[in-house]
Amino acid sequence: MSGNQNLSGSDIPILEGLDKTDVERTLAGVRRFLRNSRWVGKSNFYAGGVSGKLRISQPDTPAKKRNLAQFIASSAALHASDGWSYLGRSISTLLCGDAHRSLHLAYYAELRAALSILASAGIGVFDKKHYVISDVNSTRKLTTGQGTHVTAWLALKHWAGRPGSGNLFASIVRPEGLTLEQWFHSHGGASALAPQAQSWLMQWGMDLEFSINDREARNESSYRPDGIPDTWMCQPAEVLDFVEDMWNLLEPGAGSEFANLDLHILRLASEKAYRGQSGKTANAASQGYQRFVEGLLRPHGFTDSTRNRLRDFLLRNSVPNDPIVFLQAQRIPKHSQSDVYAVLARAVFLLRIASGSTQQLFSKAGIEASELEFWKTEVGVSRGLWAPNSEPTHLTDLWADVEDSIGEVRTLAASAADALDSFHGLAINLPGAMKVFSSHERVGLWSMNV
Amino acid sequence: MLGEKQNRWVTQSGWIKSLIATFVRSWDRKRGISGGLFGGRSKNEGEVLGWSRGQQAAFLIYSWRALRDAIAKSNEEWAQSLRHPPMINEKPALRPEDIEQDDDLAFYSPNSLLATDQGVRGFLHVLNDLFYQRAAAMKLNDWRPDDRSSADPLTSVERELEALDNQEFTGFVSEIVTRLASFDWRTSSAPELSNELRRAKLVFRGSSGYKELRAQLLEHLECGTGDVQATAKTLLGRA
Repeated sequence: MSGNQNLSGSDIPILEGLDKTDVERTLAGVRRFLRNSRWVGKSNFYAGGVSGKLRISQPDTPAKKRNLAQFIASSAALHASDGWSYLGRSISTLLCGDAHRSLHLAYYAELRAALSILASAGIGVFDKKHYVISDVNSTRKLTTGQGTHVTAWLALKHWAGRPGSGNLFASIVRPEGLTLEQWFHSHGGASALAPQAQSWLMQWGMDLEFSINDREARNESSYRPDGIPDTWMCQPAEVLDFVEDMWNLLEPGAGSEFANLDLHILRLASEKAYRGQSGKTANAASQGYQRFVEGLLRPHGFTDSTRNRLRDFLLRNSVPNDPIVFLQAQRIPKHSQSDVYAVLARAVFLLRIASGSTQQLFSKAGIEASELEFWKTEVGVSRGLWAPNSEPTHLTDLWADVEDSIGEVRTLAASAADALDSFHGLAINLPGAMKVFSSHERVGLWSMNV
Repeated sequence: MLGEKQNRWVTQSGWIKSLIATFVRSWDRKRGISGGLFGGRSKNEGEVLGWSRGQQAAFLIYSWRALRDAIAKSNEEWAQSLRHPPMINEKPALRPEDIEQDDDLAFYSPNSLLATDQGVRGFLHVLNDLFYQRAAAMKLNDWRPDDRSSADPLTSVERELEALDNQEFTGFVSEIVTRLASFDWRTSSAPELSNELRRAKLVFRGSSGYKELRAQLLEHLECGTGDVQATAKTLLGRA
């Protein structure tokens, strides 16, 4: 990040003074609108054209401040949902072989995830006028006048450095149904994880930082013609591998809406914690690390079969390699078509945090799934996740469509591999699966537990 | 669940999700649907099924065995066609390597819905809903846990399985599985299906398959006799 792009000094204490319970209580006040199938009241001054109105004047009455605070609190869920939509559209264009457009959309998936995380923390980013929820149903203006992209990254970076982000991370990531806080309780719990959480968030949000430093490079994917100097090309097999890997990480489980993703985070957290504690690299042959892993497993009373499965996984005796998405998330953009994988990977991680944060916000605000029925139906039907009046009993049942689609790809690969050799082949032979692979709104719905 | 993708069977995660969606779900007054028999709350206030975990596990194992045995006795056309798949190039179709020689293909075949998430959920769903509906009438709470059960949960399941044989309500399990054995459990990818039947079975695929299979199983049970027929009718809102 370049040196002249920092949060205003006067904004720092305001951000540090934010109280998440103010956001929760503000959102609780929105429940009466939810009962009428709306996120904010009909007369909410900021319901339409919020950025324009804030450009003209500040909220100068208690009513307007309440309106804006409710807008910010409600936007946490909506930004997260929009972020999942952008991810789906990005995958859709990638499955058409269009890495250029896919990168543009993936970037917006990341950005919306960041805006959702910030809204959950009480920070509203609106063009060049930004506000925080400074009290229940009240707002305060930040002095920074930088644009959405710059402010989103600066505020996220600041938030990621606060203890609250580590606590959030440790409470929403729930491998095997146990929070990271519970897993690492004997090793210091959330406070021990906080430095890791910070570095992960920074890594996953790296693209936002990159976009500030090198605006031209970001503009390349958004505004420059594809073809100069070269047309961006990607390989269908590589794209399919990436998409399948991503979906496997997004499979919901009984204990967590991101069962596989969270287990991989646990493994990396375990290895990092051991390294931090012993100064040694974690590996299965090390007796010290074996004891460390046993120490993680012992307190939770798992059955023998579960303990063996988890031990094998944590020691990398099973599934030894990290998923492609994890590897891509660490890659620094290089101004080429391969950047799209890195940006998509970071978008997945940021959206995982955004969904978890929103779910926690709903829970603390006392909002029940039944109150969000209207929104669930709007998203589900309008995006084609189910037919009108046919919503699934459990949102996680929507995973079955993905599983069937992965099965279709594997069946075709086994019987007529050349059918998948080209993007034309994918479109002609697997139209249904390609549609399902691009429907990440389903993840947004089941992960926010609406 | 990680590491489970190598085989085609319903995963542990799939089983847990289906149990959560059926036997251990809470009763939801607003939605007006059956609660879970093991869900801790009952439609009739004050009635909580006091079965131990060993009893719960034994009941599930007993019921699945009963369904497997009922299908093994079935000579329905659907079952026979799964047991005797068509010849391929004038040679008998190879038996899938992951199915033991003594296992019934009508139950274990990759083309049997009972080997899919939707099929597992479907059976658990109707079993739960029918028992939930008749829990009070059948006095399920009269089956008390074995006093020795708390020490070792695994051996307690064996003991409770033996004890189950003496429970009158197992007759209701038998009625249910006997009727369900005549349901056509073939998937849409089973060989030798007519085009019309294949199309009809496509509804069991994907996310809509769970609901659809439950509805069709209940409709099938409604065409049966006795308490099963009457309870299914009630569940379908036609009583």
